Amino acid sequence: MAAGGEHCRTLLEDLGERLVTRLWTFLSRLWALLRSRQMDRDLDDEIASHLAEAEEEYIQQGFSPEDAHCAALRSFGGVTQTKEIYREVRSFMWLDDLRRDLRYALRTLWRSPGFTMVAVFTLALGIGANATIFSVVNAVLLEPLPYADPARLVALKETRPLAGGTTGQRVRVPVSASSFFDWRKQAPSLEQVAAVVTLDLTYTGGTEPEQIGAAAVSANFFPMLGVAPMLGRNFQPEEERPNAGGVVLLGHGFWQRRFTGDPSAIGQALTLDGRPFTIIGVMPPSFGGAGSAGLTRNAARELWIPLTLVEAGASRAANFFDVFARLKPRATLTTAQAEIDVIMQRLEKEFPETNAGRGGKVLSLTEAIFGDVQSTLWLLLGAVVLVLLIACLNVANLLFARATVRSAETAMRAALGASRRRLIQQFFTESLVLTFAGCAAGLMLAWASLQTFISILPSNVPRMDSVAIDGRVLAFTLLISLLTGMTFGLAPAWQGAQTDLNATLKAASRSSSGGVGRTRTRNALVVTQVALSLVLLVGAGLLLKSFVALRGVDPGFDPRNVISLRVNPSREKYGTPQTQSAYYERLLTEVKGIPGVESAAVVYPVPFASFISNQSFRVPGRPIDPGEMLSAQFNIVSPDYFGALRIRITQGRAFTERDRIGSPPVAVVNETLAQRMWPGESPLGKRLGLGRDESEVVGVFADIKQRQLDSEPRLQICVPVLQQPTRVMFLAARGSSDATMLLPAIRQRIAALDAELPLSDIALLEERVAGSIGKQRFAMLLLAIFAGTALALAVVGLYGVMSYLVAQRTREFGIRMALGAKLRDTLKLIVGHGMKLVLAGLVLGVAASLALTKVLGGMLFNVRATDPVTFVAVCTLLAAVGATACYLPARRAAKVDPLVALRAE
Amino acid sequence: MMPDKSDVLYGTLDLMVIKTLEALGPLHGYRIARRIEQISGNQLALNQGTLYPALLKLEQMGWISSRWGKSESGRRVRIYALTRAGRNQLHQEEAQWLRAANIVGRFLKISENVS
Repeated sequence: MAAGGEHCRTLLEDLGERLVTRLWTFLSRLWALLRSRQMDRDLDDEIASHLAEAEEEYIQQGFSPEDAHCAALRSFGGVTQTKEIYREVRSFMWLDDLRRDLRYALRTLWRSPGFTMVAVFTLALGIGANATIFSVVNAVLLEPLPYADPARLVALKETRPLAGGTTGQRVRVPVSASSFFDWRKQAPSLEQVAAVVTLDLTYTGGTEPEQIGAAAVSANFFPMLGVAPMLGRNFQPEEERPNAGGVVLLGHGFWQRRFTGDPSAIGQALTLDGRPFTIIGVMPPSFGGAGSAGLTRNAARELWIPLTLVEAGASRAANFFDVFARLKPRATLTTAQAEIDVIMQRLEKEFPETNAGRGGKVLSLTEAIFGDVQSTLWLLLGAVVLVLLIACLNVANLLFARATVRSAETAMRAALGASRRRLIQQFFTESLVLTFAGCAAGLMLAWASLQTFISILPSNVPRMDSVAIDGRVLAFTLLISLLTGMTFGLAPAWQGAQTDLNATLKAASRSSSGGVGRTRTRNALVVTQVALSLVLLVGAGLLLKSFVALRGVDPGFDPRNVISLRVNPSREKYGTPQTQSAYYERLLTEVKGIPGVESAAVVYPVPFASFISNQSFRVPGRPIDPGEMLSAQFNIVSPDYFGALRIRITQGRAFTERDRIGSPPVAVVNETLAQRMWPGESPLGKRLGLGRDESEVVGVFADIKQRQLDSEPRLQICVPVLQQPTRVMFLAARGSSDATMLLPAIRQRIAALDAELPLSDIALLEERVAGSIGKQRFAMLLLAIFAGTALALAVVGLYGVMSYLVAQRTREFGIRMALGAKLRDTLKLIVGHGMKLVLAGLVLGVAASLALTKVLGGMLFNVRATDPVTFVAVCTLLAAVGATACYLPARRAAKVDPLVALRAE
Repeated sequence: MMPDKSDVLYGTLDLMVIKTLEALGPLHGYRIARRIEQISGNQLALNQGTLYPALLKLEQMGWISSRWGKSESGRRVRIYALTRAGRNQLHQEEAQWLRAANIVGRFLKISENVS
């Protein structure tokens, strides 16, 4: 027993001692790492004095000084080897290696600045583009929605057949009040079904009246999202009742602006639309800004009031609610959709006159908010990844060339005892240094270009204000940089280290051709590059063609030099049709009197506003198809609307001053409606049922686009404002030149009529039209930039390979020419070789494009994804550019004097 | 790859170094090298250079310490001395070596008898 105990103790002691020794060794190595230069010097001194001592002893033994010196060295053994082993023992081998490789890499890169700059710049382009696009994807798509358990949130829409569209096409429309109540009660998958109506409220507490974006929400809206007011309280269910006192929740921005962030704002009164509201709370800063803009149909919201809801007599026909809900824990989109379908089918049978053809759609909240942007952003991310891939191939190509040039050096190092692993390590270090330089430069590029980039984002992209280079973007960039480094660095490193010592050293005096395998790899790289850039170019070309087609679409009116703005007369002063029509008549007289105004009109809503108005109508005497809902885009216009916007009247007349309250109701319809309702007949004098009244069709106007340039012709109806006025209208004034110049005068005239009347939504009509194709413009522009970059990179790659090839074969060309080859033959030989690569790339690229451009299908207008014109144009472009890239180095080679070429090596 | 001979050499060299330092007290590198050569009766073809990595390793393990000093001829040299940990280590290794040498010696004797 005792012996056993002792044994145990010695074992433990032993173990302890060994641990201490290990630790000590580790620490001294760490220490050595920090003062390696000092230790190098110490060792040199020590060896020197060792040799001196030895020499002295030999001299004492009778050696001559020279012999003593030699003998001392001999008995010491290899000084260099000693130092090398010493270094190995001294510190962590790999760290030391890394340090030396780094230093070596930096030195060699520094010595070839041309190569380094091209490589770093290439990488910076690829990495920078990725960082930029990813920062947008990150902020817009990857950041979770700022609500509790957002995966369970859904948006609900009603659907109806597209008016005048082909069969089966359905549009998503807002929800009617009664559908909202039915869904809330009858869909067991949904809990907390909430409704929202966006509206603008006139705030009159400031220096001048202001239109504030607001939303009326049901009391369960905030609990459904899982968002609570930062200060104060949420709405109570009883505040939804019609006669409850007005209460309002402030957005953080509004609170800061109007109350300088003072918490005592709660309980104070606020006058909105001339009515008093009590402030009951403030929402957190994250809520209501552009960050949750997607929840509501328009821009940011700053005020929330309770939505007044009365189930009894809720309208089935008027659709203006945005409805959101939370799925119950075990419910899915599919179960919810099935339930909504059942409800809608029943309603269709029960209320055929309002619900015929109507359906419902359940979408995830993310889909509802980002559906539009998502595909564009993923597409762009795909495109930049391709650009990065091309950049990688380019750098790999450069590295291959370098490895070949340096094969003599490599062979020498191998001969001197460098292991293959060390050689690979060293090449690889060089690639990593390049990568990190490229990564740093790329991040700088991304950082510098981010603001420009955000400014070209279409304005309806949600959350774009939070786009920034944050930790996640940095991590992503580092990750792709590392991947990049491995992609382009490993193969050349492997091949570089794969030196046949004998062959290389023997050939070292003459530049070797780099071997068939290596050339083949480099050719493959060029072919791939050409193919990839072809894919990007085709994509960009298709989008460009589609964009040009889209921009060339005639909207049916002339948007040039027209300023438009929204006039919001208050409900109190302009509550009746008489006061409204009187106001607009006066307003138009005033505005037309402004010097520089050619014509002016009021219209609700102005084409390409953020919303359109739809109105159902009847055609008396026309048999109604079951399931057909007649609905048309509806505008209330002043008599000179058609003249001011230069919309053609094709039959009958436009409205006049005589079409006013009390005179027989009239309407003007577009050609599509006329043809569809009364085919082969004159529409003039026909009756049109609108609401309770019947109007007489007095004229026909040419179709116009109301919201989208790429939409099919829709049914459209206009009625005169003097006859069927509405409170809020848009003023549209055409100037003889720049219409923005008219704005101060217009403001002044409007204020002179009524100082308390707020204006909003001011924009040139041209801007509105351009804004409607902002998404397409953005996608086209970016893809064009990326494709251009890709083309440039591919050309550089091709040029590099050709130049290199030519340089390698200068001697051969010299011989050929000495033997009587003509300049043309040599040119043909070289250009032919290059063009073979280009052609192979084109063939591959066309095949890949045919497969890949399908993803563009949904984004194209009037262009097919396989559009032959685009394909041919892009191929021609690439071939021409490629030919130039081959021709330049070829000419250089062909011009070489055979004698010089032969002596060159 | 050639088999790594240096480890074997280091192992024995380590022992020789610390034994030398125990016997003669602090010494500089050249003296240690010469002493080892003399003791081995010049049978050991020592590359004197290999001593220095061995010295470094011993120092890293804490068995010897070093300081800069002057040689007999007045040169600036690094002088190595045995530490207490080194002395312990020496005793252990000495015992082990003797045991091992004993066994090998006996083994060789038996083989001689058999033949």
